[in-house]
Amino acid sequence: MRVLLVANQFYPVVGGIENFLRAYAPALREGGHDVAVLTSRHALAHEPIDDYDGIPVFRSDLERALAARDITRVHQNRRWIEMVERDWAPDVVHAHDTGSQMWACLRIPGARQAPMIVTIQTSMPGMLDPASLPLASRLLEACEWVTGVSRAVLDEARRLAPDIRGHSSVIPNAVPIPAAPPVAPPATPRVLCLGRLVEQKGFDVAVAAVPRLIEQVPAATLTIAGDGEKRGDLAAMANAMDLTDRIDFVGVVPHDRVAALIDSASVVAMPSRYEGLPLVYLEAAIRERPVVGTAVHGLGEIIEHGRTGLLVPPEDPQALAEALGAVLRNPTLARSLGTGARDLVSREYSMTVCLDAYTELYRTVVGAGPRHAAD
Amino acid sequence: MNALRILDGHVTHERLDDEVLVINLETGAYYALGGVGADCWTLLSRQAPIDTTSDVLAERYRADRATVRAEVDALAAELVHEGLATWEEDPSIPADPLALLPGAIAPAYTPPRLEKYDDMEELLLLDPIHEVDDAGWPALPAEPA
Repeated sequence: MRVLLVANQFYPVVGGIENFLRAYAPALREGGHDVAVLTSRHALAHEPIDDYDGIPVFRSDLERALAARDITRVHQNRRWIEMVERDWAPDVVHAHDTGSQMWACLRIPGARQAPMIVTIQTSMPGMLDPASLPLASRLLEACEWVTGVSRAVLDEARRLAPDIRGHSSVIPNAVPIPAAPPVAPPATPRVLCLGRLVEQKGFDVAVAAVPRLIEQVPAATLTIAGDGEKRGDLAAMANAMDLTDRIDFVGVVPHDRVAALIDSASVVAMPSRYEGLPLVYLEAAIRERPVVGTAVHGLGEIIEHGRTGLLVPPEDPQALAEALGAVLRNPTLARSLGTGARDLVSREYSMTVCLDAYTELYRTVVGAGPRHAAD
Repeated sequence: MNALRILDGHVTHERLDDEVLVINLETGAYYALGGVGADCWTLLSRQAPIDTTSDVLAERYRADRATVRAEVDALAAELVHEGLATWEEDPSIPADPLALLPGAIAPAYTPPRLEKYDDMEELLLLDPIHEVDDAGWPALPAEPA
């Protein structure tokens, strides 16, 4: 089967969707499918066509043309996307979240040749401007199938677009399970926050939790890995709270060094304000590191409190500090949460499970053909 | 009426190889004409009479003159209907209409077609999931040499 994966961003951009696709696309190819990626051009990847690990990557300039309000360039990019879909001739188009690339694929004049699946990767009300939600809902309804990476994000989407109820399901994100066994946690108590430094991730709540954490665990430190628009604010906050010797900003960490970064931590904090099904949880779990996360969307689903992690309310530095302190002061609890998480992820969130679910869905929608051929 | 005048006050147009893009600045809609349609627009936008336009296209594409004439008439009416052009009583007819067209032509005659795109507004509503600046944030840093 020929599968065109569509995402607004792809490698070398880092983020949950991008990292998932970097693992998923090669796994799909190894499963015997032809795979290509349609995404945006990028300052570090500005050629219209390149490849990732032998997988063709088509990069349109649609987003920048839109940002510049340049209708001529918008049109040229729409034509280019039409050409990609016509010439590469996928059997199925699989988009990840709504976005301009997906929009352009759906709006190709005349009948679409390939059915489209869209996977909702995160909370739509959390992610999108309220003014764009009606359009995003219409895009979901125009697809042959909609999947959500967690029950919570799919339920939100079904409330926004009730027509998708008959053609939608949950397929969680996944990670490859490495052969290398997890390593013992470090001797020094170290909390890790890993992800894009954006409002969604709530790393400001983790910074705010540090003083209370130090009261319980005097040697505790916080490492913040990632980059983004909130980096300056977070650094200023750490400075204002006189915590610069306790908080280390290490910037973006290449994906092949993430496992080592997690190994160097005692516990991973995920104080997110909303989430789909965060890859960071899965990556921490396979390294047997306990996670303290907020009870939001997919994070609240995957963490069974006391068994596969600890749950705290969002926006609550005190509760976060208490939970982190409980894990750092109790190695038995930490070990138990880590192994519980690893068992869960190995069983239900492996790339093999994910690949089987998607390929079965591809066969179903390809067999049924486009529902909206005249769209 | 035998010629058109483009409503330059609120219409801009540009020829991109074998396609013409026409933008109605009042409505925000834009239009594409490819192949024969692009040539047809190029001639009509320079006030070539419909008779002349039909003759030039029939000869250029070796197509039936009556068929071409009917389709040019239809396209001209559609351009007026869409508010892109108006009928011109006193056209300034180009001396050599054929010289207005580029050398390369489409492989075969197809009826000139006006494709309308009125979805720019909704496209602009679709915020990218990750805002990415010119430096490509949030990207991996360049590997050290």
